[in-house]
Amino acid sequence: MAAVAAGYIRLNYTPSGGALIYIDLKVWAIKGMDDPEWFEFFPAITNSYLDGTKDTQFTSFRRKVRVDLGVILDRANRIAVLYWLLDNDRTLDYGVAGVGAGAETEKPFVPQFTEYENEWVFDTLLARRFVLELDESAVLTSFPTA
Amino acid sequence: MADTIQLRYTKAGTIYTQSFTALAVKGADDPEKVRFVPPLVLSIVDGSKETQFRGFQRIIDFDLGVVSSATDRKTIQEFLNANTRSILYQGINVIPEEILVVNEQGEIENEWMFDFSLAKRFSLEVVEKTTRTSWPIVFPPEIL
Repeated sequence: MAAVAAGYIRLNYTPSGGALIYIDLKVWAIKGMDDPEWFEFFPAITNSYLDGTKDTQFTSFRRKVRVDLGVILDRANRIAVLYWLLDNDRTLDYGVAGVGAGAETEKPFVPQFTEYENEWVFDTLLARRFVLELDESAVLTSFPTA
Repeated sequence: MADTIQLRYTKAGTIYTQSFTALAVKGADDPEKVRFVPPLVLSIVDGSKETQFRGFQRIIDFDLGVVSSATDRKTIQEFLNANTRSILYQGINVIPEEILVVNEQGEIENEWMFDFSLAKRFSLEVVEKTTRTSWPIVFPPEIL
């Protein structure tokens, strides 16, 4: 399997009992994946002491990622996005261009919400735009370099 | 292109049907608005997260536009009030599909377009009753 191209995201999923399937989709914008832009700390503990001082007990962090896939014209790809979100073992690959070029592969992510809705750009059903908001499944102690 | 839908419901043992023109239908033919079932996202003690989805339900929006007839508006009210209801919708299918739906909204309000009482616009959001594991197969005319 060839690595995912820069500027693309690869959605890997396994339909019930079947073989691994992937689709590559062009990314219009991705926030939080290759740059520390959106993240949450774990465990989210901020202690408040009786003397008024505060400290934290963070050990790691989780990337939160917004992937703007733009308008997806191909119906099969739109159904694949649904199946990827539905699969509990979903992973994604992301190709990074420019400085630090490379690819991150098979990173497990979970959707931030248990419902999703696409957007009809200009209120036209021919312009179905998908924006995915995801949480990285694992927590990290250092920011990955592709 | 407008679609024709048929609202079907049961009241006092009688089945009622009424056809409407829908200006837009979102979520029936294409995976556009979906809820995962069960909606479980687990946060594990080591910080990792995982989902336990088993299926999904379609959430479908029917934009009926301005409904001029008072009788039709009452039909919409009775459809939403009934506990057994379905929508017959063809969309890109060759054969119409009967979708069993539930209305999750406890309160409904229409819109007066341009604040005009004669332009009573209705938009229905319903949830598919059953849980699916795969997107329904449709037979658009071009592949037959």
